[in-house]
Amino acid sequence: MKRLLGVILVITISLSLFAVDAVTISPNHAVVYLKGMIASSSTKISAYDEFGSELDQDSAVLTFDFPATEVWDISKSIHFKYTSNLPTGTYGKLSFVISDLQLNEANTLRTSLELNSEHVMTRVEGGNTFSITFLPGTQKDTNIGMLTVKVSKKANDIFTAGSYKGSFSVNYTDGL
Amino acid sequence: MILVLATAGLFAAYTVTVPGTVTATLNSTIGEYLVHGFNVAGVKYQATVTVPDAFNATAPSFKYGYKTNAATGSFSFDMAVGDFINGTAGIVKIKDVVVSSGILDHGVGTRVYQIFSQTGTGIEKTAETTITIKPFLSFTAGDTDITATAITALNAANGAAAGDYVSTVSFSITAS
Repeated sequence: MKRLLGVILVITISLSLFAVDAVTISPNHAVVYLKGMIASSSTKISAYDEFGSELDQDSAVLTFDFPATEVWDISKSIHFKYTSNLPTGTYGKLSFVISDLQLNEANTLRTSLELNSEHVMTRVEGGNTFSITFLPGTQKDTNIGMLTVKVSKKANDIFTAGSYKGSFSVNYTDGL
Repeated sequence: MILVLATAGLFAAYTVTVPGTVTATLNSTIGEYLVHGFNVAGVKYQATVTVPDAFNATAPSFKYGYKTNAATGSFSFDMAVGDFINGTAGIVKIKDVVVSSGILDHGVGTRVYQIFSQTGTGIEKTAETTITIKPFLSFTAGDTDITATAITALNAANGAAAGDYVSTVSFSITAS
């Protein structure tokens, strides 16, 4: 008699390691930040003659040709502009002092200054100062104002012919 | 006296039948995955990266890629490019976008680009491309940005207000 011993061994192991119904996307969003900087530039104030030519140290000369008449009024103008790139607005003052035109002590032509604003952000103070609000952002040749030097002769003024010389100084200060 | 015992049943032959093969079956499921992101110093699939000096003459660039073993489905890798913003002070617009490989399908009038398109095959697939974002460094009359919108001189780096600017470029994946 035989006894049949049958041993049947079946092992089934089902392992569900990553039971997912859909693709897992990682990360949901990826982001890159591009950073750039625009450097601020200091304010540059330029002067231009009546014909639009920029005046520099070599050409900043006003020449008055006086007519041979008894009465005359002569004037010359300078336009001031600025260029800058500021992150925020700022303030400044441009002041002028002018001397008389003189041949010698006995022959002096009196001069006068007249300032006119050429921008809403500029106002005239005391007749000899531009009070300026410098705007933020890129500003290229933005108007400040016009300075006019006037020389006049009345009928009873007697001046010796010759070359009369004078000067004017410009002073800038920051702030209000 | 001889005792005869019938031992026929004592030492019977037992036959054990053992299966020739024992089988253990292990079943497991590996989930489908998709990872994407930036290659930062050789480390792939980073979620964020920051690129400095974006207004350099050499436009900023970064590496973006993905890896997936998706068996089915289609995936679109889309990039949205933001302008360079400096709070309310200024905006520098985007002039162009360039990739070293992959596709660059650009919806007209939008700032969204399709960078990759992947259809699941079950076989692991990787791809990477270098993306260059070009901001306007200078302005020429008639210039338009990536959305085909006209820009002004204030939207170029040499005309925008001074300060720090950031462009956010984000990536997302659409599955179908």
